[in-house]
Amino acid sequence: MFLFRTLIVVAFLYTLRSGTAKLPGLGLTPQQLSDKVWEKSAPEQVKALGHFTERFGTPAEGYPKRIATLLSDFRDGAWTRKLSTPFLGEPLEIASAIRKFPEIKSIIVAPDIAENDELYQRIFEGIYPTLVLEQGSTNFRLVSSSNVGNCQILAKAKEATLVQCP
Amino acid sequence: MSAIAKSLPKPRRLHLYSALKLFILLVGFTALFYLSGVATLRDERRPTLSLGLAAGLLTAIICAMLTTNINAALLAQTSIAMFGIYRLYTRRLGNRTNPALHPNPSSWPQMAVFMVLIFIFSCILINDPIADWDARSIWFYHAKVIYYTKDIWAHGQWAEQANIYTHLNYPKLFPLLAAQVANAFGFWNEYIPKLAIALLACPILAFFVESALKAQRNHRAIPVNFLLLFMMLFMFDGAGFYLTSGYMDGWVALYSICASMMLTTAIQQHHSDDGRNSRIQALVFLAILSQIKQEGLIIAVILLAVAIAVTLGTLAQPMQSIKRISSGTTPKTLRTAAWYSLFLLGPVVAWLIASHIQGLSLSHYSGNTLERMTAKLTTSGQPTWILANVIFHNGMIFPSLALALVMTIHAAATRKRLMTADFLPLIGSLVYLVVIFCVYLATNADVNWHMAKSAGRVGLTPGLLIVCYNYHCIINILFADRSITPQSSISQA
Repeated sequence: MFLFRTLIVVAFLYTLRSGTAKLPGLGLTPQQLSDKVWEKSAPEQVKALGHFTERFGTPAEGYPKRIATLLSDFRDGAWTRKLSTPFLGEPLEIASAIRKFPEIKSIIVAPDIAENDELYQRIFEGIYPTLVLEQGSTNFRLVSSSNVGNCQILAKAKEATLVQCP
Repeated sequence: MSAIAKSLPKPRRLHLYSALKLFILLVGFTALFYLSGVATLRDERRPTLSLGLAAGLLTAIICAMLTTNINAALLAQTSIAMFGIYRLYTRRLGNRTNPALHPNPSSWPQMAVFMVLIFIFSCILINDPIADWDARSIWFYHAKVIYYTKDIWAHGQWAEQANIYTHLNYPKLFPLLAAQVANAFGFWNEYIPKLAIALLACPILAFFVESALKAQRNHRAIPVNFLLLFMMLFMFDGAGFYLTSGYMDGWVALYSICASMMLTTAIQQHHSDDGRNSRIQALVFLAILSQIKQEGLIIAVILLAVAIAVTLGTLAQPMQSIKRISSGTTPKTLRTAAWYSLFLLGPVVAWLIASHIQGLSLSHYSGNTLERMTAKLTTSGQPTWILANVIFHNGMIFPSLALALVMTIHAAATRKRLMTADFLPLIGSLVYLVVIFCVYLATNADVNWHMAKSAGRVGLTPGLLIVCYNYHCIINILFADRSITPQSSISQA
């Protein structure tokens, strides 16, 4: 009975960590094992549709590293600085740049940036409450660094350049 | 540049006013423990901390929906809490002998463990900025809009066409909490609003502490219970990401399993104080679940329906219970079921009506659901492919199902009794898997892209519900001698 109980508890823990815990002897996680079974058994036309492309994000193994970062941030004073700084733009650098200009209520994003759907979405959400316009009366624009033209550069960030056009 | 740039926003330190607002927010949440517990349970039983905290979250969203302004909501919420404290104080003066009205020394270790856990969790949370897609583009974007407009309905701005890709129809409980945290500190950045995750975690952490320590009375294997519960709630595959990044899928899964555990207790011990407390607690948790995310609403309805079916006995003896219902011999059970439904449906219907009025049902998804389902069902390989994703994409589902089968066979073979209510999370999970299958059949996005982006995290809830069934089996069959009435044994179910 003791052995059975132990086996069941271990199996329970494996079901919880099936994506990251390797089965002893096999060197595979239960997740990889089910993938292999699937590869062997699935019909070709179904396999042709593709495989599971996304698994879980960062597993809990990341906790020791995150706690170490936390302690080091705390020692350096970075922790209190980032917690008490308003309008921090991470991870969208341009958001911080725009907020240095409180008079900018709305902005036009240039087509070469807007065609990148993901970046456009991040800008749209990241710079709120500054509104993104498709066209309008504002002189402020977000352009790529090579398309500044005769506009005045107000700020540069890794995602875009903030300019004021005549 | 200097002509254009005005004075830069100066870094602020946490001043007294911010600290005071934060204190009021925390008092508002924790003091509701007394109101929800003592007033609701009519002084007869001792309410639990997790119930009070969960009721606090629910009251936060109700107050915000009624007052619309987040400052007014905070004031209303705090007033309710203060009224609760006042009622407790006056009742304690009037009844010095009722132990339910006085602090319980045995709950102090629970409180200490809870405080330490919440502090550690908060520190981990706010060390990383809001970065990932759903967190940034849905939850914290909604929070930012609420924070800047100071209005849960954003003065009607939600309905703007540009916002339709941000899933406007998602409930606003979490965005409200994040906006309230930013409001308490007085500014928005990419770190501080993440503390709202800790507020959402409070009832779950309190539930864990209560359940782990309650096991001292009921089970021999305290360390095993503690380990299994801790692993199930906080160390499942992907917990490091889904519980700290600002995604809501992990929290939907955790509230689902906590609600199902409380529903199971409520059904199994319906005559005891524990059962009655668990019933109220389960309903509050289900109501929160329905206010976190649309998926939470679906799973809440499924769990409630399964619980009502189990309570009425329809799963075990369908014909007999239909006869009982038709002959009107189960009025009390039906009344209870009606109360169950009303309690959950209240906030849900309120939200649906309000979101319709505010134009939040605006979405980029089109109609023609039935046509899309039929087309996918008749395409060779598509149903199998979708089914495979639903079952295998999340690594917990298939192995947990296999273990559930082993445990059920073991229970039947060794004549150990599993009560009908023990099957609640398993049945709920299977029904939800069918719903997920139908959603992928009906999606108007590219199904491969849709499954690749979401099947893993959507599978968290059914996966953890099956894990929850296995947990019940291990604790109640392998590590505890359960004495139950033969009517509810597996042999008769």
